[in-house]
Amino acid sequence: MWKLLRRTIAPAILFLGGISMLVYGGRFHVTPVVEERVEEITLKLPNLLWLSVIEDYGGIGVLGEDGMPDPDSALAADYPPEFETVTRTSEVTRHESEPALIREVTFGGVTLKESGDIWRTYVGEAPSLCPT
Amino acid sequence: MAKEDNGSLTAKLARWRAWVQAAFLLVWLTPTVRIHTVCSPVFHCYSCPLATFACPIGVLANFSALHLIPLMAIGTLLVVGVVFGSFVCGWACPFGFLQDLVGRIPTPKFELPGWMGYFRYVVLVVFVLIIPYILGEDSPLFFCRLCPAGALEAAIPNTVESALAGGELALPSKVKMVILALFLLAMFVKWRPWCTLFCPLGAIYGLLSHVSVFFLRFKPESCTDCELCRDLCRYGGRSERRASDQRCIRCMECTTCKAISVDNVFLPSDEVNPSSTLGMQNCFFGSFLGRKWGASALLFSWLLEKPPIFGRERSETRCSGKICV
Repeated sequence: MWKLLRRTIAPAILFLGGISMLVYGGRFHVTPVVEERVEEITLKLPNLLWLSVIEDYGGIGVLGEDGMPDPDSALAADYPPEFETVTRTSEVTRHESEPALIREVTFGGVTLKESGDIWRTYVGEAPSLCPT
Repeated sequence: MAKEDNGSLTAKLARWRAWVQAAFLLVWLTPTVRIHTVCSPVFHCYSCPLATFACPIGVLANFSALHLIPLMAIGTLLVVGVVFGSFVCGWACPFGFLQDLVGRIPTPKFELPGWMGYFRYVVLVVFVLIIPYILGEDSPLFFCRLCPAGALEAAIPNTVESALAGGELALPSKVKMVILALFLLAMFVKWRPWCTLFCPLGAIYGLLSHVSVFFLRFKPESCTDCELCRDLCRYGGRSERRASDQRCIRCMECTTCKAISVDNVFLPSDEVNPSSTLGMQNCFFGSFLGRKWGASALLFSWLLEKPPIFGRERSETRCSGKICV
């Protein structure tokens, strides 16, 4: 019995350790990954010419509830609102599981910055080939 | 005089090794299934167009570059290695299979000194762990930028695929291609040059083979000094004790001899004759694990490169001396 125990204790410990690592790594272990998110925001701006008309009419009968030309007023067609699209870049931190991180490293999707943070190397669609 | 085939199951199975290796290719290479969130236990580049799983060495290197511990990769290697040891190298690894196939071409084969097999540990520690940790994945010495398996299985197929698709051509690095060319040439003149000299995964399994559930057992009482084991071993066999050498890939060719068999830790072990181990039973593995024969084999094969330092004459060994030392 003691001989059997002596032969099997090391393999058993390593095997259980391996199983524990697999379970913990696959299920519970997460790593923060910072990614750059680029958003396009469309802003609805009042027509600047319209602002000069407001004084003449005093805003009565020409402004809607949102401060824009009342679509039913005669002046709405003459002074349409202006739309401007702006690009906003923000940093978002997501907690990735280890399986997801394994998949990311297969195509070089993450890298370690000098700050010590792990950053995603791409924005949008993931690359298909490993950079090495 | 060589011993006749003892007809054991393992000896019969050893003849089918190439077919088993080919069958495992169906697991590691699939045209549609991609499970790159899980590591395979074999050496196969995850950038291969057909790769089903992720390469454990690639994951180790990349996680080292990220200063993270790859728990799943280590867990996979521990679980598989503790059960099978380097049976994975001899029976499942696709890159090893390629080397076996090329080695079958009848060209003169050469042997290198056994101590060169320790270079695998240098590759593992330096190129897979330390260099990525210090220099990052952009370093030209990053393991994946040098790996011949990556060059053959990923770089070339992806380059060809890009060329055929008419897209932008991303040529693989010249260093990588030179290394691949050297290994392809070496496969013609040496059995498994990558596995026996440089493979970091083989180094890990070689260590785990000391504690694996399944192992090759040598029975000295059945040995008749016929040297059949050395004749059968293609991978630098120097003595029958190499059956448990860390460089052994457990191809089981040597199990043709009835003195060597596949065994497991749950079966009762025969006590080893102390005189045949040159008093090496005090080593860590031998005393702690009870695998005196395996540990002695390791030290024995190491001593083959050095003069005897324990003061025992060759004639004191159980064998004739021309095999063991």
